[in-house]
Amino acid sequence: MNNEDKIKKWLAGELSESETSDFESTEEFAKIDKLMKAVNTFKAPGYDVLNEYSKLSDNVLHSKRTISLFERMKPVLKIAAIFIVALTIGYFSFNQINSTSENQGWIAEQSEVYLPDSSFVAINSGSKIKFSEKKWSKERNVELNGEAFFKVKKGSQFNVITEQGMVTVLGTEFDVKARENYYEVTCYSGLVRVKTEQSEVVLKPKSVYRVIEGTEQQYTISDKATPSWLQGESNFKSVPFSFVIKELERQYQIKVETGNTDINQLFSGSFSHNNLSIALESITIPLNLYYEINENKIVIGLEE
Amino acid sequence: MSDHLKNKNICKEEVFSRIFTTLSTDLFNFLYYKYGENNNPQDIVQAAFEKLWNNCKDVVPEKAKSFLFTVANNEMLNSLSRKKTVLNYSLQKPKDYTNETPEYLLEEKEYHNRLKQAIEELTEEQRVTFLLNRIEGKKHQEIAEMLGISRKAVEKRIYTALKILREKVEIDKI
Repeated sequence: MNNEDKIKKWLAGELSESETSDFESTEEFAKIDKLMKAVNTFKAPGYDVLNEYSKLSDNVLHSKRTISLFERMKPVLKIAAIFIVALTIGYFSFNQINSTSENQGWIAEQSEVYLPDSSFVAINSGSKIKFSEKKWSKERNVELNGEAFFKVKKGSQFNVITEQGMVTVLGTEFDVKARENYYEVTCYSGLVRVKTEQSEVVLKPKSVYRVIEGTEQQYTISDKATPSWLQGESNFKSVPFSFVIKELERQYQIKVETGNTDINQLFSGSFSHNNLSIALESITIPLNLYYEINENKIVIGLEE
Repeated sequence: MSDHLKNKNICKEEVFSRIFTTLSTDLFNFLYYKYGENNNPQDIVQAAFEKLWNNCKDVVPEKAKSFLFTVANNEMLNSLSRKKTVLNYSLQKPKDYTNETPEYLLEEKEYHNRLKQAIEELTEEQRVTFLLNRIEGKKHQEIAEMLGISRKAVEKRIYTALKILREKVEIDKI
């Protein structure tokens, strides 16, 4: 067996045991072995299957679903269309008599929307807004459920209505986060008036007003032009851990089990929206917690 | 493809997601080793699976693998922004060298740099074959299936790649 054959067979793992040990004692092998060890440092970066699949699922699978459903329903839709036309005519004639106005549907899920006066709204994951195009020229009202960032064109009074309170501005930039038991308004420029059940405050640029489970707080933030979630990161300042988990669940559309974790402890820090394992590390390591990614759920707990 | 996927329709999301779980990492590694990270292997994997989903009626699960690899490769070749020469492999620091002399460390570093350049200078075919085998531990047969070539050709490419790398890396000290 010549040298070339021997190396080929070794590469294919086809040498017998004695041949292998003979070959592995040669100086030639030492060189190859060194090379192979060095080659291993060029390993490809880890591929995040979970995250990549959720990207694909958001961008492709679900948009396709609606199309195929639409195609299947075509014959039904043709008949339905006739009814819709009839009903619309009926509705408008009815509407003229009553002169009521119908709101538009909810707009949801991490999107960017321009309102009729070209004011800009960026909507975070798991959040939705609603406004009436018809009444817009009379009153600028936006209903919000969740979190959104507003850049309001100067003009008449602009209101953001949530369950927990109302924000009133004339023209400015601000972020409103209205989640269960959590209400936070951050002003980025101009002046913002916030009205809740408890109180009424006026916020200057770079100041934050928030109510967590009934407790009010007001503080200022360092120089920032827009909320961090617009750059794909969620940021927290002394927020109970349970709210951090809820935000993580919304961003990644996952379920998290917290087991024996103290979910009332305060967390300051941030996590990224682009990589689940990095996000989990950034919220668990500071609190000495461990995490596990199982198929559809994530478990977080106290480090033993 | 494993048995449980036979006679199943890729248009079903659970079948599709299982295919994604089994094949996406291989596909990513294939693209990474062949074209390097500057050519966005993640995006091409996404595009290939998007195409599979859009053609789910016409592709049987057993053919999904070759479909994906062919589509991904074509997608990469068609991409206008494709960067031809630069392959940016991230070099990890060799560990556990704490007791070594500075000269040794320098030599190691030079050796690594020569190796990096030599790997980048291999042909795309040689590089992907060699690295899938040596780093990812893929069997010759598996690589042959991925690339749609014979087992013999895989063996030859690996050997040739090794030979070229050794010629460029093993510079004898005088």
